[in-house]
Amino acid sequence: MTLIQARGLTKHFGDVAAVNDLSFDVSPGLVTGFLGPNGSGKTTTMRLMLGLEDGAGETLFDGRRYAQLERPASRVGVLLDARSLHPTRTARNHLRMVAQGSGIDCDRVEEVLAMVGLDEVADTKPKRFSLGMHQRLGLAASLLGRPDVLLLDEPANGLDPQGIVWLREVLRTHAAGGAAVLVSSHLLAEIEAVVDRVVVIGNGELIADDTLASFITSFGLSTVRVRTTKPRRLRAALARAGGDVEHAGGELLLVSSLDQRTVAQIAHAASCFVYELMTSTDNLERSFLRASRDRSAHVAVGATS
Amino acid sequence: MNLALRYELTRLATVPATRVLVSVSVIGSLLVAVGLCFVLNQANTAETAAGASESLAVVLTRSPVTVFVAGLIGAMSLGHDYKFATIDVTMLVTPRRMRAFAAKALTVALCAVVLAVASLLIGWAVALAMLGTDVAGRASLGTLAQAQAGYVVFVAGWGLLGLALTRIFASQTFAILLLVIWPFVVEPALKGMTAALSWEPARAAAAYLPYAAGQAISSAPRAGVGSLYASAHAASPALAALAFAGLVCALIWSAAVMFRNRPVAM
Repeated sequence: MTLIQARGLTKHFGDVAAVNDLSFDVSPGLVTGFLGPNGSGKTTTMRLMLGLEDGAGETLFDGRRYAQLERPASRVGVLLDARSLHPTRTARNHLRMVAQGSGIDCDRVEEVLAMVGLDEVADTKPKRFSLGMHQRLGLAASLLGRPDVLLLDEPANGLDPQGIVWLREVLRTHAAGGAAVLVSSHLLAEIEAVVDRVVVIGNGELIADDTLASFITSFGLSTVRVRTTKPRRLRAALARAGGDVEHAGGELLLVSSLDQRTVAQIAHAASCFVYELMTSTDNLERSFLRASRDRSAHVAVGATS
Repeated sequence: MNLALRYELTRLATVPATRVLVSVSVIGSLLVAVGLCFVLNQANTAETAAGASESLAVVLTRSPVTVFVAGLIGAMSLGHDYKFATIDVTMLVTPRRMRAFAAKALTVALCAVVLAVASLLIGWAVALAMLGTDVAGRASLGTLAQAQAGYVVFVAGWGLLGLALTRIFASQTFAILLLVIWPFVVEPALKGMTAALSWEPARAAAAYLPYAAGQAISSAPRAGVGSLYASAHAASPALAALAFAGLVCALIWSAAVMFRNRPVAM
C-alpha cells in the first residue's frame, strides 16, 4: 500500500512554465485519472515524479523519492512512451533485460507476455510491432515486478476495444489489491469507466483534484429536457422563474438552473401539457472541457465550447 | 550496482549489433594475424630472441579491428539509449545516475577485455601455427606479458573513449566517426605536421597522441635498426601508459559529470 505525494512540482522550458507548483496525492486502492489538454504538462509531470526530468519539487512514494527506492522498477510500474524500445531487441529480451536489472525472476517474463497477449510474438523485433503491440509490451514491462504503484501515460493509446476492456480490468484489479494507480488519458470516455478520482491540470497548473462524482458535480451541467405542446408559453414561464432556457427546435426546451421537479411544477402552473421530462447530467468529457476551457494550450476552434 | 551491471550486460547481449561486432572482431583478428604472420615469415624476423618477442607481439597486438570494435561498443552502449529513447527504461531501472553511468563504463570495459583476450588467443593460435611452435620458446615472456597486458588496457581504454565521446559530443555518430578517423587521419596528419616543423618537443609529443600511446603500451620493440615499430619506438611505454590512462580517465570523468547533470535528453 503506497501513497504517492507530489509536492510543488515545477518545470520550466526556457521562460515557459511547463509545470507550475503542482501538488496532489495518489491514494492506494484507487484509480486516479490524470487529465489535461494537449500540452498541459501531464507527461512532464510524470517524468518529474520519476526523476527523469530535472525541476523543482519532489514526489514521495511512501516517503521516499523514486531513486531512493530499493529495486524501484519492481515497486513502481511505469509506462511512458511505449515506442521507447530498441527496434531489434525482441519483446522477450526487452522484458528479460528489465527483469535482470530489477531483480525479478525471469519466469515472470513469460507470465506477463501471456497476460498482455504477446506470447506468440515474444521473439519478434518491435520494429514490426503496431502501436497497440508497443503499448502492450510497455504495459507488460510495467507489470513485471507486480508493482504496488502504477504510473501509466496514455496506456489506452492504440489498444483495440478488447485491449481497452482488458486494461480496465488490470487497473481495477491492481487498485482493488491496494495499488496506487495514476493513469493519464485523452480518451475520457474510456477512463471515466474506471477512475475513482481525477487530477485535472491545465497549462501546468492544478485545476481540480477530486473524486470523479464531485468533479462532475462541480464542473458539469445538469440540463432538464422538456417537451411540451406549448413551448413558447412554458419558455416564458420558466424564464420568469430564473431558468436558463434554450429552444432546441420543435417542442423541445433545454432548461438549466432549474431542477426537474421545479420545471414540472412551473409547467403545471402554466397549464402546459408535458409529454417528456428528463434530466441529463454532463459526463466526464463535458465536465473536463468546461473545467479546462481557459487552460488549453493547443485546442481546435470550438473544441471547448 | 550488481543489478545495474546485470541490466547493462543483458542490454548489450540482447542487441544483434553486438553479436555482429563481436564476430567482426574475431574474424578481423584472425585475418590480420594470418596476414602479419605471412609477412613475418617472408622477412624471417622471428629468428632471434628479440625478433621472436617483437614478432609475436606484433601478431598478438597489432590488429586495429578489436580496438575499433571496442570503441563502437562503447559508443553504442550510450548512443543506442539516446537514439531509441531507451534511456528512460535505463534510468527507471537504475535511477541513480552515477551508478547507471558506472555500470555502463564497467560493462564496456568488461566487454572490451573479453574481446582483447579473445583476440590474443586467436593471435597465439595463428602465430604458433604459422611461425612455428618454437617461436614462443625464443621469445621473452616478460616482454610479451607486458605487451599483452598493455593491449588489454588499450582495447578497454578505447571502448571507454567511445562511451565518453558519445556523451560529451551528444552524438553517437560523431563519436564513432572520431574514433575511426582519429588514428588514420588526424594522428598521421598531426605527426606529419610536427615532422615538417622539425621541432623536437613537438615530434616527441606526437608519439603520445591517444592512438599512438595506446599502441606504444602494447608494443615490445627491440632496440636498434630493423625494429618493426617504425612509428612508435620513440614513445616510452610507461609515459605512454600515463598519457593514455590520463586521457581516458579525464574524458570518462567529464562524461560522467555531464551524465549526472543531464542523463535523459541530449
